[in-house]
Amino acid sequence: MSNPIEDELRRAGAGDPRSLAGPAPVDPRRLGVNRAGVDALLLAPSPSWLERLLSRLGVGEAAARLVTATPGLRRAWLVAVLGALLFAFSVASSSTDTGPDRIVTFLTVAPLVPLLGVALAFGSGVDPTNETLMAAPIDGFRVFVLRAITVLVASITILGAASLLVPDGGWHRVAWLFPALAVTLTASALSSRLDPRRAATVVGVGWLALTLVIVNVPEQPSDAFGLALQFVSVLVAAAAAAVLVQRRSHFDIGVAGR
Amino acid sequence: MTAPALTLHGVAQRFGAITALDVPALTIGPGLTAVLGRNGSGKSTLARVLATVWPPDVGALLVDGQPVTEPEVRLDLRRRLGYVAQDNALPPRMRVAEYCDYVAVLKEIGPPRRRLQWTHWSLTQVGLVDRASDRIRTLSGGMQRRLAIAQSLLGSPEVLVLDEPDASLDPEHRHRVTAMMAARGRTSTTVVMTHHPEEVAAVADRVLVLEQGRVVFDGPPAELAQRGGGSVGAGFGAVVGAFSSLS
Repeated sequence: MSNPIEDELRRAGAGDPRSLAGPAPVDPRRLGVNRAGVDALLLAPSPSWLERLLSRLGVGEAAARLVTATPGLRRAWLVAVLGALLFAFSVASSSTDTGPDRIVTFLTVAPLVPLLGVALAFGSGVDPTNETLMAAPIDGFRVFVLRAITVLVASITILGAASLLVPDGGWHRVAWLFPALAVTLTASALSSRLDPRRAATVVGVGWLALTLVIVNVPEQPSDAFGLALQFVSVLVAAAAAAVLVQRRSHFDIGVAGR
Repeated sequence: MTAPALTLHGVAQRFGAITALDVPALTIGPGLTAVLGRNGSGKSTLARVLATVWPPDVGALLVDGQPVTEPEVRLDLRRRLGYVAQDNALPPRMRVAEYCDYVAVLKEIGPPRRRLQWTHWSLTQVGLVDRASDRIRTLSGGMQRRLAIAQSLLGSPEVLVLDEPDASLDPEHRHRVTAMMAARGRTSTTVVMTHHPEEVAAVADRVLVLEQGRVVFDGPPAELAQRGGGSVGAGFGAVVGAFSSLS
């Protein structure tokens, strides 16, 4: 049985209709552009678990890429997390100290963990791409804050969990939180003028010196971390945050990374 | 939009007692400018000042007459800037395409599909597209240098500041990079610090020679070749001699 479409094509002089199925006319330029587009899509780096998590939490795609791809941040985060864990386990497993002494040691050292993490997240000595970052149009303050918040959240979460391991602490188990915010924000504010590691060193030494003094004042050393210190820590944190915002432009002019 | 002119006005940069850069007045306009000088002559300091990485201790960097101390001017320059630092400064654990994508985010290129297109284009320019999914630490020194060049090309910037882009490159790729810089110089303000005067200066529109932070020669490559090195500075004779013998 003949095909009516084939018959019609033959009558129209098209010959064998199968000959029409030859190579389609192709615009090489358009083909090249499309090929490059496809090739470009194939380059897409697969998002890490952290990137996917941040996206689910509503963090923008570019910000998530910025945070997770930041080279220095991985090390800073690792240091913060490992530091918190090691410290908490060492305190918890210590058999020589009494309960109150353990909590004082914990409260003295815990604020230094996020401080160390933030110090290792930014600057010329820790981030190999620092010069590229400084020459880029992105807001340097935004990058600093994104990195600092990421490290801070990670280390505070781990420290929070670790503080449950400290025996006989009561509410003092979380008395490191406001001091941690205070020292980290103070070091961050100082980073607008000094190298971040130097700023962290200055603030860390200052914090240790302060605690050495204040723990000898009350009868019970852990009382030194009471409401008065918490209130002062909140005030210092607020003041440091204000200075940080006020000096935000200094993160863009190259001083911070030098 | 035409490529901008960068002007150093009374710029000085000191590290303790050492003067790394001392440039009373210098304007670098569109075209390819090669900066020659031996180690420690101030090439990298000049590159960092031009790339706004280091604000000068004294003096100012101007873009088309506007000081980069103004945030808008600095931001505008950075949006039009590609920069290759002296050290490769690459994160070893990151993958090649991931790194380019990260730098594209720093350069405010978006959305993601656009960043990928620029990544593909820039890696193609330096012949690294087939290594896109490799970790940077697995690349050779020359490949890492080409990757550093690739990130500077993202967004096709109007200003390129390249600090020894030809370091670690084999002769073939050095030639390719030189040709690329010559092409970029036709449409942009391209400044190249180099130890290989015979390659870059031969295609440059202008040559600067730095000695102890000061500009001791500023002119076309042919004029430098004519001088032959003796009057340019005794300490720089070897570099100038190498160039003049090949010109």
